[in-house]
Amino acid sequence: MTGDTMTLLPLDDTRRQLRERLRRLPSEQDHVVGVKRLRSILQEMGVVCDDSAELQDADAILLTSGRGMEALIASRLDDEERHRAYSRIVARLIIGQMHEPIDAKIEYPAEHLTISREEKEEDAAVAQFAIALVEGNLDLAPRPLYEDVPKLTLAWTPRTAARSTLGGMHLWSDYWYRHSTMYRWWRSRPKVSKTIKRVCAVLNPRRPAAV
Amino acid sequence: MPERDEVQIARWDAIRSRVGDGLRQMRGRERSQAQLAYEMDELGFHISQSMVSRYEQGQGEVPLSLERMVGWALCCDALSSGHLHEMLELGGYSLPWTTGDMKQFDLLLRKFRAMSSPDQMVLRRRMLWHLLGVSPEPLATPPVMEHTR
Repeated sequence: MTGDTMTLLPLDDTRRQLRERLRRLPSEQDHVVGVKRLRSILQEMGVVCDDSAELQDADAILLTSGRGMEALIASRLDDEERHRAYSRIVARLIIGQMHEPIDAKIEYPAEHLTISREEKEEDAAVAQFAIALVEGNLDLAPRPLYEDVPKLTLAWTPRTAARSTLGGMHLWSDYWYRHSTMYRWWRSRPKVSKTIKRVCAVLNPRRPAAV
Repeated sequence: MPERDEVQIARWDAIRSRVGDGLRQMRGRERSQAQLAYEMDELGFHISQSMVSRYEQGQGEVPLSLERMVGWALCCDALSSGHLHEMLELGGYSLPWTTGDMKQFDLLLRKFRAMSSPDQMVLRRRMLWHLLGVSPEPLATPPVMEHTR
């Protein structure tokens, strides 16, 4: 759905709560437990989850309307695939744009034909963030996706300069993660992630981890 | 046939020809009666091709329910058409969506026409619930563990 007149579904509160939960999500190797945790998080957000959808090609569908949000997960998936599908739904809620009065996002196991460039970019960013979620390694994604980060402000004082610079960097990182394949690849390298962590610690020494 | 009041029968007799016109217009020429009957059956409506034909000719004996009108329009991507609006008015039904909302429903349906048929059907079944204004019910027990291989 790409009409100019369409209104975006206000998901700010859901996103904020999701980020809050994701920060506390322990790294999980067991896919069954991983599914349970993500499912619980989604249900807390008011998303009705149905694992018994008779989907043939798609792994999952996220359907939103004024009547509520639903995550339909294909019944044919094994535990690992289901974990990935749930991660994509969570990633979609954080990254994706949903429109009013009704919208649906289809999650496919691999890259799929999409209509617009925006959808293609969104799909790619969702897929990459979902990988970080499945691996329980959120550091491999830009921090604004799962943490509250300092804002870029114009009130440039010696005291706020470092935090504001950091805010600008986060903004830049978030933007390119959503739009550039090369940046997503680069940002998901562990070495890059470690370097960014160090930069955050230098620019915001009081809260180096959570910024 | 379920027992019906005379008043209900008389009312249906008075409107069924106009309802039939609307149904035919919604289906259009590019969709066959057989295709529509198949898609409605997949959605959960027990409607055969001959019933599609009878309804379109204004010969359906049982009044068309709200669910069937909406299901018909859903299968024909005609939710935003004036025909559905007119039929709902004739039937004394209303939906909690504006014409603009219905256009978005139609757009979404068309957008996902390229999906495989089973996947489309899953989406449409759920959209039908949203259209009818019923919130999706949470499942009582999460079936996560049941699907493990």
